[in-house]
Amino acid sequence: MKKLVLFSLLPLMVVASEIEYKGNFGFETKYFHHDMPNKRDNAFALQLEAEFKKEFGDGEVVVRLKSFFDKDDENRRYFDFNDLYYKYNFENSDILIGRSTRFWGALEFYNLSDVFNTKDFLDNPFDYESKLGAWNVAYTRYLENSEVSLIIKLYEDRQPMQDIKSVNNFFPFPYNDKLKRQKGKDRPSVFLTYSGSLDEVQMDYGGVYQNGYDSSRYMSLEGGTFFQNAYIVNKFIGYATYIHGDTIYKTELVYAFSDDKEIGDYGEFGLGVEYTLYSFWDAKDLGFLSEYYYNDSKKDAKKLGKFFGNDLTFGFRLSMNDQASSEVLGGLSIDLDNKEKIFFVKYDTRVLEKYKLGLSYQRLDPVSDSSFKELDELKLEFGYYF
Amino acid sequence: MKKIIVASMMIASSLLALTNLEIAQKADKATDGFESSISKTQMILINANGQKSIRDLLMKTLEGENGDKTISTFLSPADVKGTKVLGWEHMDRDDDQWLYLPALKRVKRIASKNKSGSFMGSEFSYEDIGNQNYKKYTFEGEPEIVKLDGLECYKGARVPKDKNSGYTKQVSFVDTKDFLIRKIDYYDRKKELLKTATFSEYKLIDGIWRVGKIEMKNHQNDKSTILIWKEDKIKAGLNEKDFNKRELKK
Repeated sequence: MKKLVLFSLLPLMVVASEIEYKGNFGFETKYFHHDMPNKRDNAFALQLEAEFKKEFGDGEVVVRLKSFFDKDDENRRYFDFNDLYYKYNFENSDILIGRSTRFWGALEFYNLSDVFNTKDFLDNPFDYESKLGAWNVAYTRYLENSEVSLIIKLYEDRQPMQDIKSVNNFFPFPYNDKLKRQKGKDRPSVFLTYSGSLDEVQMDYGGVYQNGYDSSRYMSLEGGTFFQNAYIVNKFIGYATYIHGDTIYKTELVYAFSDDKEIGDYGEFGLGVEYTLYSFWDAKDLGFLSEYYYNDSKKDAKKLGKFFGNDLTFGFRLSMNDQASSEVLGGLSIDLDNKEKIFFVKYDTRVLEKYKLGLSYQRLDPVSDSSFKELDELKLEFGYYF
Repeated sequence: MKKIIVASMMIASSLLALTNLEIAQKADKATDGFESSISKTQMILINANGQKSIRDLLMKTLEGENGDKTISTFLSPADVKGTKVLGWEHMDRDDDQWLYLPALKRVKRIASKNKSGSFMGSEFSYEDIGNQNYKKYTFEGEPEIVKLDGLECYKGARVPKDKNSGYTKQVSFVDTKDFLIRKIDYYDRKKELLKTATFSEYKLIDGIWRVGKIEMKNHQNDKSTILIWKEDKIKAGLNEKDFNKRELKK
């Protein structure tokens, strides 16, 4: 109800004062080819994303909302605030209070280090950039070429899923998004982060220490229903990007200590390389990417909600550098343990300056004992940007 | 009469006495000294069929001894609004560049070695947008004095020192009166004429010349881009802190 009142007031607030705003409104329509019984073979949803920002002297209020209305899936009829915070900027530091999203990491397809926010599985579950905001209080101190932050995430949020008839709900039994927590809902998670850049070498780096609930969760089946379980970790994370000539090298490293008997301690790492051929054909740029991810947890990485456990990914990015900023992005990820594959290709272009069109195809090619099923997805997105 | 002839000869000889390097130094001096600037610019992209597309940018620049620092914020098109590029230029090594993607709140370090890539899909490359300091070039031959749209200009050739430049040669036309660059012809790696930039609408602000419009015409694909300075404030009081990575997330 509070969200609804705030949502209704936003247009009035924009008119009433000088508020910066941006966003988009549009639709997505999908067609699925599959052999799964009782699953839909199409989906259609309206979507709205909008960000409002108002500055008050050295302070600012930021509101970023996201709304979906799916014609069939009631779980995908919602609006939420990914950002709803106040930030006060001091000369060399700032304090943030509220709900926000953050990004940590270096790799492109999947970021092991990006552990602050819960992933939004109501969107494409393979799109790791889609997140849910988290309530937190943060203090950041800025140094010459680096920054250090102390962040307290107030509680661990639940993770809603698409309904049982959706092909993106992989569970064989109903899922209840009531989260089971090792130390209760009110146990905060504390993050201490440091990131910076080297002076003489083209290198950025970052480190995170986390004490609190892990971003990964494991599933348990109780009374014919799946539940997510959140467990406490002491986690150490490092990530870096190094550029040599036209080649970009990336790495992310994670080690977590857990006393949860289902999980235990575990480590993960990812390595990536990216090379771009600039103006390879007229003004077009063609980039090649390759990334490898490894996870040594007691549970299979997929059972922790991670689709990358011992996986090799290849991708490309073709930037047309035209008036419409057209781009084609494609990739193939192969599970080296069982040869399970995910392939995707996506085309984005701008139309008439204010509109964007996206076309994508994704194929999931699982093995016979996988929780995934064979699935082809064709998606069209169209949006008006303001 | 003799005095006039002698005076004319002296002026002509003094004009011709300058080398290409000295002309380039004087051209830099005419536009240097702005300390820092805040500019609102509009980029009009025109394709071979004459269709236009517009991008708006807020550009902040800090003048530096060993290269400028810049932060560019995209104001339009709406789908890229808030995207920022931070650049630290270096004379002795590759520049540092970061891209901020607001939808992901991600700051990405990006490769800067290749200078010939298109800037925002325009006919300007990253190399064209960056500082044109004379130290980045070697100068060839003797300058000629030529007429360009009624203006007397020094015509001289310069070669980028950076081996990753997209150009093998640039021919510049510098006004003999105020040492402002009026035109540059760019020659590609095949040594063929690729583009021509025409500089106009110069304004004198606080004793510093500032360009108001640059039209870049690509002769090989018939596309062009016009860059217009809508607002331009110099000696804007910016300092190093306004060009660190914190500014990307603001």
